[in-house]
Amino acid sequence: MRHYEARWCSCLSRCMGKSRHVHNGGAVWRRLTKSRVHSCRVVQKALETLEDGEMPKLLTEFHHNVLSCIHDQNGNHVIQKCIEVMCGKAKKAKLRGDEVQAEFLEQQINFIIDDVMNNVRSLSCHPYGCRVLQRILEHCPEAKKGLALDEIKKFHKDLLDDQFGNYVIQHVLQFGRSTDRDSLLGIILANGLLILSRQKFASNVVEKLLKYGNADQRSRVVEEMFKVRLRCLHIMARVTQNLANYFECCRGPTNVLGKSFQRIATGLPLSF
Amino acid sequence: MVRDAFANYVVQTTLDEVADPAEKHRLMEELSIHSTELVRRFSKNSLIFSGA
Repeated sequence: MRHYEARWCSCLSRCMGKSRHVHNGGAVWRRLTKSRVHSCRVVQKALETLEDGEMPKLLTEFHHNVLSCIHDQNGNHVIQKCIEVMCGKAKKAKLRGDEVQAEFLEQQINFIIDDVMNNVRSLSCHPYGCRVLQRILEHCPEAKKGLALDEIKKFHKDLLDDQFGNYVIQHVLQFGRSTDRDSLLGIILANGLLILSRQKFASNVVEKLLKYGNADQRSRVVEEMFKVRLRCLHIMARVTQNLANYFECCRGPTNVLGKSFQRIATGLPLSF
Repeated sequence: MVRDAFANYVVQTTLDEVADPAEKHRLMEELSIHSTELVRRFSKNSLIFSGA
């Protein structure tokens, strides 16, 4: 621990002892907003090292401040850490067979989950908010993850080609249920595989679907790919045929062009 | 799709992920149709870059 971190840690423990007016934003929260970069590191360090018993005390400091913390360039890391650490601890407790403790630890971040769940759409499109949603999908136990997935499902279509939402959708594909992948596959096929594949962000989503989808979902995408080509061929054939007919009607030197177009139109499957 | 700036990545991932040999064979056939054109393109670009 560097010296400034040590200083801040002692400060932090003093603040935690003092803070009584949690609803007004506790002392830690005030510290956090005062000198941001260093203190956010210290709080993260504290989250990593504190004992299970002391965690709830630190977490109560963030009550009623979750959204402003997420929107802050340093605070969002702290919220991410909270989710990561608490879910990790709960998982460990479960492995030890200590169900009660696991339940207790899980409940400690309920206030974060609740606030996030009420603002899924806006947070998914936010540079820091999307990270918090990603952490929830990565670390939370199945029940909570299910809640988040259901909430995100409402906005699948909007998030697909959003510059930040696409990361959330990618995580849904990686950590979500098979039904979520099915729903996204449906949306991708309905919106046109070719159109989405040519978009900067949605193309990543299509790739992830190929990567994490089951054999059936994958083959449906590939099937659609073949269809895309056939459709293109069909359109191109009609366009070149029309052009060829058009040039055929022309007299003079353009007729050479007409002939080459005719050739392209007939030999299309090989040259396109 | 092969010629698009983003869609070509999708095609690449498809080639990586598709396990069914019949499907893979079909994909390769599709790509080989484009191959002459892609080679032509590539050699043209490399000529430009090498200053020839």
